[in-house]
Amino acid sequence: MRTAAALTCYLIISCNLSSCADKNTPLTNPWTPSEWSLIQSLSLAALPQAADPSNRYLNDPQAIHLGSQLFFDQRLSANGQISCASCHQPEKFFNDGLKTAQGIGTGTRNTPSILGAAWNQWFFWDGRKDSLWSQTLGPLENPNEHNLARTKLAKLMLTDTHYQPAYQAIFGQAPQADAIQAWPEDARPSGTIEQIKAWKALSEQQRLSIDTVFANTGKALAAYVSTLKPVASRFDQYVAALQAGKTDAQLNPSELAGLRLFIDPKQQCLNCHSGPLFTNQSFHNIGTGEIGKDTGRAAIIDQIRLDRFNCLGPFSDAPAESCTKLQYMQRNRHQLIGAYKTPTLRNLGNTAPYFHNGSKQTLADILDHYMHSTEIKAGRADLKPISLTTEEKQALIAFLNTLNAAKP
Amino acid sequence: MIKNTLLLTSLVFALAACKIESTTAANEPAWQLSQTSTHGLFKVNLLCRHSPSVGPFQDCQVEIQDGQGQAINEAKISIDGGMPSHGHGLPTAPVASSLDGQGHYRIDGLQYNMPGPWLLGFIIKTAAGQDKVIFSFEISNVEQAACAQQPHLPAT
Repeated sequence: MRTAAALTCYLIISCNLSSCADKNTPLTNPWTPSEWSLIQSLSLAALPQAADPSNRYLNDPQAIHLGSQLFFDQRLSANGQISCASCHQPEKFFNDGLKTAQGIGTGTRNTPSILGAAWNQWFFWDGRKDSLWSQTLGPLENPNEHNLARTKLAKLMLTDTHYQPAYQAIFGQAPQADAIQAWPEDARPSGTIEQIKAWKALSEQQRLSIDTVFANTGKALAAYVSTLKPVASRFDQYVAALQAGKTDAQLNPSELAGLRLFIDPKQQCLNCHSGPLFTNQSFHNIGTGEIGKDTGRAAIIDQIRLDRFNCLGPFSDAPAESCTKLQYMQRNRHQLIGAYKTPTLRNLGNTAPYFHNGSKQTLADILDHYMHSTEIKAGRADLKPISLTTEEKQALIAFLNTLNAAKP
Repeated sequence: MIKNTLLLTSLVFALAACKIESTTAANEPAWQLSQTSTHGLFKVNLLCRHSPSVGPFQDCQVEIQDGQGQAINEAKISIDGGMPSHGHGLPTAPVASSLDGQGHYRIDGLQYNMPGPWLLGFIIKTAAGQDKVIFSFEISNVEQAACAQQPHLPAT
């Protein structure tokens, strides 16, 4: 079977080389086979289907619809003024343009765009969540974001005249009305002393019922967010055109020079920014951590393992043996100090400011960091300083801007 | 014409490499390294279903023998590794567990996250003593990119 597939590919190659090509179409490809392989591996067309075995509702149309309504609903916050879309604004590529997130309070991390989030392996800058549905639960309870009590959310889902039938149609059985009424309005396992006391006063069965609604709400939100994919950019159009032997989607000389620099091992870009989303989904120290203040992934290792809503937890739909990334995750804190998740570069020019703390305003600032950071020069990061002339910097920025695309 | 021929040849070779790997069974490794441990206590074979690549969990085993070629079955094995040139370790914490009582140990949770030069080390403890072996190899992003997708030939 595979041999047949290989033979087919061979024939396609031969075909492209000779008789099958349209002789009237000018074929121009400036890349060597090695370079061309690398370039094609970055194309959005190479992105596989998103999957999450821990969320069986990921592709459920009803769950997607419910999630889309929840995403924009400001009732999912303590003050009734914050929704997911407050920070993940569709008109700003699901970003907010701020240095750090502004919800009910001010956060400490830059809001990432969630276009393509369904393909992430880990979630948040430090990867403290191992699935998209579990990630969505974090901001709902975060005091600086939605600051929503878990019981308040569960009651809303099960009593709102619109959400209740939608919830029941998707997730089936829900607690009886008298059981829901017995839940306190303002109880959660973390928060104020009063909120925690109210949570602890609940029976184990009550907490399980509330947590089930909480998790299902996250699964519906994740189903919607999974539909948010990056749109093909000029770079993708360029690759597609070359694959078809056409010349109708050219990059200009500066952009091409930037692409050449980007795939050049000397610049180290592809070490981390690989694949169709320009991220290796891994964690690296690029010299932006702040000892004593924000140590990145090193600070949250136990939090992931002990998370009730992780892949191995009671609300996951995944068989335990499929939770390999969680089971074998790196737990050596010394290795992970100052490490943050490699972000996507798609729509980079539309999603400033940059880095986990929003400390860089422009693409030039980012390149300056990689060239001149004292942390990188001191060998305390996962890369060596890069060297670029002024023209090369401009070319690299020009290429990075070819990854900008239309809003989805 | 010459350029076309060279391109075709290189791509056919690349395709052949991918094909060989994808049709090879776990007990017929497509990629392997062999080395004697630092103090000569063990001969260690690292056997993998595919060439090492960035991203997926690697399907690998280690085979351990003593100096006389006898299988070592009850070793305790610790795994570590990383990229010294980048100053970081493995992105995951892989473990080895005995597989078949014939000196084979299955490796679970092994992943690489960058192209370039890697080290993968094993500390092996048995009743006969402790020794270590460190394998050194390179992960090519070019080969990975070629194998990860449908081959599209660049127009010339």
